[in-house]
Amino acid sequence: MPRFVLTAVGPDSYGIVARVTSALAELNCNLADSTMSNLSGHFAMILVVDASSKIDEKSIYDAVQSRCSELSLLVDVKRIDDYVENDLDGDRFVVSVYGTDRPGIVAGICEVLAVYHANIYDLTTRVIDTESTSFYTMVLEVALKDSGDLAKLEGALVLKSSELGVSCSIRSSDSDEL
Amino acid sequence: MAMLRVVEIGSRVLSLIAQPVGEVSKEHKLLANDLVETMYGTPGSVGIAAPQVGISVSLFVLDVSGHKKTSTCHGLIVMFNPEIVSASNPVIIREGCMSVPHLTGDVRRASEVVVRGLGIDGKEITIESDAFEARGLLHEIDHLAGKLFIDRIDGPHALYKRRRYL
Repeated sequence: MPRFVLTAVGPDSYGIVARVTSALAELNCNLADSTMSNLSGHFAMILVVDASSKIDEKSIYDAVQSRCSELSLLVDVKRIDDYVENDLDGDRFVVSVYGTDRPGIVAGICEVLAVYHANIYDLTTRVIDTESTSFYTMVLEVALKDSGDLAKLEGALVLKSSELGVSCSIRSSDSDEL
Repeated sequence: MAMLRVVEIGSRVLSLIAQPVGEVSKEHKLLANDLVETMYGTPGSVGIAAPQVGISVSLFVLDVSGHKKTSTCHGLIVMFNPEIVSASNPVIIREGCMSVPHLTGDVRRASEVVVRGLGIDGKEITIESDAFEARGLLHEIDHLAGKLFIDRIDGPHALYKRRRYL
């Protein structure tokens, strides 16, 4: 079964999700995974879509564009079912970072994570404006292949966050079985 | 007594481990009274820790009376040098903070706690509580360890913007 990734980004308005997903439903496509969010007034969708063998990238693109012609959406469709998934999972941790906004916070922290093979599974950033300045907050979920590296990773994050002038903490995101 | 200005995220004092008090002095009691006035004078506030007014002293005040999520309630709690004796039965609840006025977040905290510290008279007190009061105790004690709720956030999708504080 062909699998596609569809990205669509455009100025937020009513009905974007309804129109995009209706177009996919009419092609009998199934949404395997998705993340959608409003980013500073632009609505961004990333969808993983399973389709029948008759469907190709162009048919999905055309169906979405015809339904959303007046929405100024930037749409892209790419076939991904030949992709081989690497096993990058491991023990999960949540990393919280916050401090006065400046260029390089995400790059600096993520470079440290990469060095220790901490794979980023999810990342959200928020900028909050106070009366005097802007503050940057970033929360990540990462998987650490070898949790024996946790102490070294934590030390490196403390060092980097000190250079960047931000606060940084890391802790286990183990869930409680109920 | 006086309303004190609440410092916000980015203030270094919020990242420091608060200094424990030796004996509860007259100045400490005055600070506690000012914290109580600041808490009661801020709509929606149920607690505040000394670092939130820029003073790195191990002291918080809390009063969850009348809150819809309150179960056990000790009324006004004033505690110096608090320590967590036990904490169990974690639950995830969305919480906010006067020092982080533009965000809320889903935070996992124990819903049953026993906390020990010094009361306003300098004598040791032990508080056993649950539900919203337990959450308030743990949130304020975190401030004394230099931690904000962002440091406890449950994951990347657990942080939310809000238009304004209360």
